[in-house]
Amino acid sequence: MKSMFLISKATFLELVREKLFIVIIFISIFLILLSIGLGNLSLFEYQRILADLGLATIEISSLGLALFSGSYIIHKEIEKQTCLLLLAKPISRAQFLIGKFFGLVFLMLLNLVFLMLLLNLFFMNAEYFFNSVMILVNIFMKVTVVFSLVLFLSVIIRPVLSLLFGLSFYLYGHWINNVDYFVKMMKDPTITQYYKVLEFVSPQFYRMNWKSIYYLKQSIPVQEFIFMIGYFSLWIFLFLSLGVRKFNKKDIT
Amino acid sequence: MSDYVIQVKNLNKSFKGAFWEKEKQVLKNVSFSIPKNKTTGFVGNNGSGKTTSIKCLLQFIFKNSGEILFFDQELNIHNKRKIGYLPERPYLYEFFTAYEFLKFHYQLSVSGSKKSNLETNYSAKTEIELMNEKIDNVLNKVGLVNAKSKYLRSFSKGMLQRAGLAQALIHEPELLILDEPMSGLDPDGRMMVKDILKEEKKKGISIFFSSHLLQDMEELCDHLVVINQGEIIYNDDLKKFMSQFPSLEEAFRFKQNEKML
Repeated sequence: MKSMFLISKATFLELVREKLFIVIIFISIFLILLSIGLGNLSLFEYQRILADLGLATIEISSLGLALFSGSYIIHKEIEKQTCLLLLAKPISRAQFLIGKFFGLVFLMLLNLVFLMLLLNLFFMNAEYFFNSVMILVNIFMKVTVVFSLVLFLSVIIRPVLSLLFGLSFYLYGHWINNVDYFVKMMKDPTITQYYKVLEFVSPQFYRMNWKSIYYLKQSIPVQEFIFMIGYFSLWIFLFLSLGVRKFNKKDIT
Repeated sequence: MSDYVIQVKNLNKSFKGAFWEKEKQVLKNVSFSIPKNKTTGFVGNNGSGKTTSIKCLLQFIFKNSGEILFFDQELNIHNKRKIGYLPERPYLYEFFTAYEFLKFHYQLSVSGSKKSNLETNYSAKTEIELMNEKIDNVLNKVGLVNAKSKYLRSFSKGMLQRAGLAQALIHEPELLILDEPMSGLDPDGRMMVKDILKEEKKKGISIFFSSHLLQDMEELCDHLVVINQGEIIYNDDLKKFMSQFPSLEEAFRFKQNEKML
């Protein structure tokens, strides 16, 4: 356990000291400030624009971290062979991989909390605070699912490909329901069956996409919130297990 | 307990590139043993399988068949604690300072060990003090004491090699496995590494290192393992290999001419 914590801490330090993180943070702050500017331009929609744009910025920023850092986090260790020194120490490959995973997860969480606090500063409305925390957890779980997939794929394929797969998976999870309309129009039972299978194996992000002013003002049912955490945790567990399985058998040449 | 720290029996490893390529056997029935409390040199031409053998030993790559024992056991978390390893051309975490780097490796090496528990019996402060003392000692040993607070990214190649050696020594291992520890070092650096290895040998540490520098091998080793095209062709006393020859280099050259190698 201590070894895993040490690796997570080192990974966190590595990522914080990288330029990519600083660039992502600056872009996110700029976009949040832009949403404030745009909100001010609209007469009666200030809060809606601020919330929708601001929350989207927070999700994209965390997704950027998950995709760009996540796809290289293991590949870089193998390519530069820095992992050899660590794997020669009394730690298992699983501890190494999970340690790296939590290092980036902690950074993503910190990034989310910072940006959410920044956004809350402009709302100046304490009654939304609890809901904004729920939305933050939702965004965090979604990007962690994508990151765990990217991490697993980066063990077996090139980082650019794992990044593209990760992005496709994110979009697939959000947009799969849009196909529903066309499937119903076609009235073909085979295509309907295919669609159902495709929908079932997608992470169904669209069902738990709470980043809007509606969810900020309305409270999210607790059961739904707990379901969301359990559902996304299963996806994370699945991808992490596959990643550990593959990494355990990988030759580090 | 046998007299060997490492025993390798009939180790085979092959690699396959793309799916249309033929599988290439890199290690062919490799068998050798590393005696306890002695310095063993691992020598062979480029591409003969030295680094692959070492990587197989430490399970960075997985063998096709064969048996590898460390301290009479398969490699596991417990016997890994007794090993210090330095890879060829080590790439280190450049975002760390030399102190942070050694602290990280020390903590990883002793985490969960009895040694660590013994130390915690004193007090948390004592353990930190003990660790700092060890870090200072090892930095002093590799000549990096003045670079303690510098980031590794500002280190030269030679300094990185020294820092790599320091992390292999920080937890006071019983066995040192070093892959080309002298490569990339200037004459002073080489001298320093040789002095460290001699000092560790005096303490009773078993050392297994690969090198192309036969002069250094002759100076440091008691035991020799020679590998050629993935096959072990010698695994015995160094003096025996050198008998009738004034130097290891000449013995090596002669045996090459004899097509023994």
